[in-house]
Amino acid sequence: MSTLPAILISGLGAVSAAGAGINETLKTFSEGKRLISSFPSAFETSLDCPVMEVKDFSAEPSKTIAMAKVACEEALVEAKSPREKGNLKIGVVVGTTVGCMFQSLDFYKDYKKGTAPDSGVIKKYLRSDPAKWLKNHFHFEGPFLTVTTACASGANAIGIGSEWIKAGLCDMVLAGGTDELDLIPYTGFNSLMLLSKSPCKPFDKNRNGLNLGEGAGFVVLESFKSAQARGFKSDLFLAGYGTATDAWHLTGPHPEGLYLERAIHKAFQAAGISALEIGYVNAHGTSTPENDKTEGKVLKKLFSHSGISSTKGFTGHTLGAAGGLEAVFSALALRHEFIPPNAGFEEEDPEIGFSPVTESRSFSGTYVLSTSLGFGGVNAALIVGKNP
Amino acid sequence: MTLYIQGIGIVFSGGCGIKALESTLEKGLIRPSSFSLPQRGIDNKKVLRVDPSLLLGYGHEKKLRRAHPINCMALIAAEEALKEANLPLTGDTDTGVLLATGLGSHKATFEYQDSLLTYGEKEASPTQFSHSVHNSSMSYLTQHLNLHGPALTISNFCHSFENALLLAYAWIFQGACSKVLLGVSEEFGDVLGYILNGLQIGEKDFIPGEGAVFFLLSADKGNACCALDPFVSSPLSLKDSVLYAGINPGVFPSEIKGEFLTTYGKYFGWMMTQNAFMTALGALMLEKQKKYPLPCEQENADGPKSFNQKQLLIGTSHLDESFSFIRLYTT
Repeated sequence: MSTLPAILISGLGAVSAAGAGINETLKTFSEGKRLISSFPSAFETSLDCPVMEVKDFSAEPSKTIAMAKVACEEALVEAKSPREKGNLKIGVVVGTTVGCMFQSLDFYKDYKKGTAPDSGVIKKYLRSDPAKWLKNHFHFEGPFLTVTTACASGANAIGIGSEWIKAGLCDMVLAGGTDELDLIPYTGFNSLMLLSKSPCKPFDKNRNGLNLGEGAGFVVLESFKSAQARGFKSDLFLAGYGTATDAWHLTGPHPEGLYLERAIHKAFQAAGISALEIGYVNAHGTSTPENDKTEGKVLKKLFSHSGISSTKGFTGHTLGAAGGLEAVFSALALRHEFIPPNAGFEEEDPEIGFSPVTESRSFSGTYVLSTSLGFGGVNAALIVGKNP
Repeated sequence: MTLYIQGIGIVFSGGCGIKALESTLEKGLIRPSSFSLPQRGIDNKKVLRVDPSLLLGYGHEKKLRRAHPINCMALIAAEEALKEANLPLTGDTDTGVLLATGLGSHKATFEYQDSLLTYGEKEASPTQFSHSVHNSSMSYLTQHLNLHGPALTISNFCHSFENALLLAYAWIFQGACSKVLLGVSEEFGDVLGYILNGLQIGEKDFIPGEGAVFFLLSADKGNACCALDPFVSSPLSLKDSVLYAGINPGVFPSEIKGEFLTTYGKYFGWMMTQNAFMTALGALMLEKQKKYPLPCEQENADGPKSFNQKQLLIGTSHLDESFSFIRLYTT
């Protein structure tokens, strides 16, 4: 790049079944160990679909917010900014699905029975906008926003954060995604026949569905000017963001992935690079037959030269958190020059036509890409770059 | 940078389209329906609901057969905004879409829970689940209008509309798209009625509502009806009329009380994103230079009066006791 990067990534934070924090996550990826529970511990269910949980975690004010708080704290420590805000205008953008929906089945059961439901559940819900909660918790003065584009929410949150900075609305933005496991999406994804009864196998010929997970992944985005003013240097920057819409189906992706490809090209355009400069792709790779077929076609077409893997074999599909977590994993891959393995993959699917990276291995490159696809036809692509 | 409103589309209890809004405002008449939950001791409470028959006749009946009213209201309001702007956008990739919603598709969520309780976890309804996702209205909207640009759903309870405006500004400012179709969609249902009754928010004559309103925004003046500024940090410096949206005007700074603090919100009923509806009303007042009568449940003899204003503030008091302002001004 001939010009200085406009948006630095000043901090990273992650909480998922792959680990509480960056160091644990890196260890999990290097050991290739998967932590899968046969059934969720947070709620009772008659279904027997495995999940990937974040254990021993507070549920106050909600697990969605509690995980986000820990991931944000980790990112802010790396960014060396939280307690020295000065005149910095710091915004918060959160991607979530469960985190903005009122889904208390106990409340509804009581309502249906005619008994008095616990009104405290409502009050708690109305206080649990994750973006607003985090803004208040960290005493930030900038704008806040919760974006809910299903499984692309976290990636879009990071993209929005970069747009805020470019538009001069903020100096710094805490952006990412967070979601907890919940009975409603667990049974809902089962009703759509998208859950697997075994550990997921992204891009594998015999993949038969996803495992739900939970977690939070956040980055601190910062204008170059702001970092320079406070003498902060970062090795990473957000090179590009693109989003495009299928306008196709309520839950299924466009079969040819046309608008995923468009989102990727928009991210290239923003970054001023081509596909050839991408060293690693952290794919959405949910392990559902349709997602992986559609996404696989696009990735094969554009990135036959790059290492590709989905990290959902370690985290499960964390819905609104996925794009945030995977942006963090992509940034870690670039920083540490390694590709996390695509856990669960065994056999190439001829309809996809490539095999992802199955053993953690090194790579060198300046750019990595993270892709996200969501219900409603939302596609998002983030490109992370490394400063020389 | 200025955001210009090129077109407004609305679905509310008074009808569909900006002409229906104008007609309602000219008459100053609202006709609330009633809402009762006898087993809950809620009897004959007023609500401003959208007549489902209003949502027919747009030629979408087959494609929208599984859609919920919240999805249909969003689509029709968006179509009306495009029609008013005289800008067919089909197949467009340069127009962003932002849907703001305070509570999203809560009726589908409860209907999904019904299916879960009735048929069990293994037989719960996939249709209701997919419609319960906050992004479902956006999906219908982009499919039917064939829009492929950025399309996001924003949900920050009462702050949803103003936060979406901020993002529209950022998108247009840094060239992510040249136009943004931005709107809100909210629905009313029995469970929400029960919840609102229990929370005892607002005044005695609090009336909840439902509907959708969309704006086509751009940085080009074109034939804009008015301009919009979402960054009003110091309303006291502006000697404007204030249209009020929300439930508790007491949270506003005392200096701006009484200027023009009215109850126009009752044209639409209370919703988390009522300030979007008030923005539509304010835009119409500025464009027509008319001060419409306050809403009334009987024939209103007053009629509109002339209104010599170049700008208006839409002041919103939020459930969390914060307040915010959006400035509208003539072009």
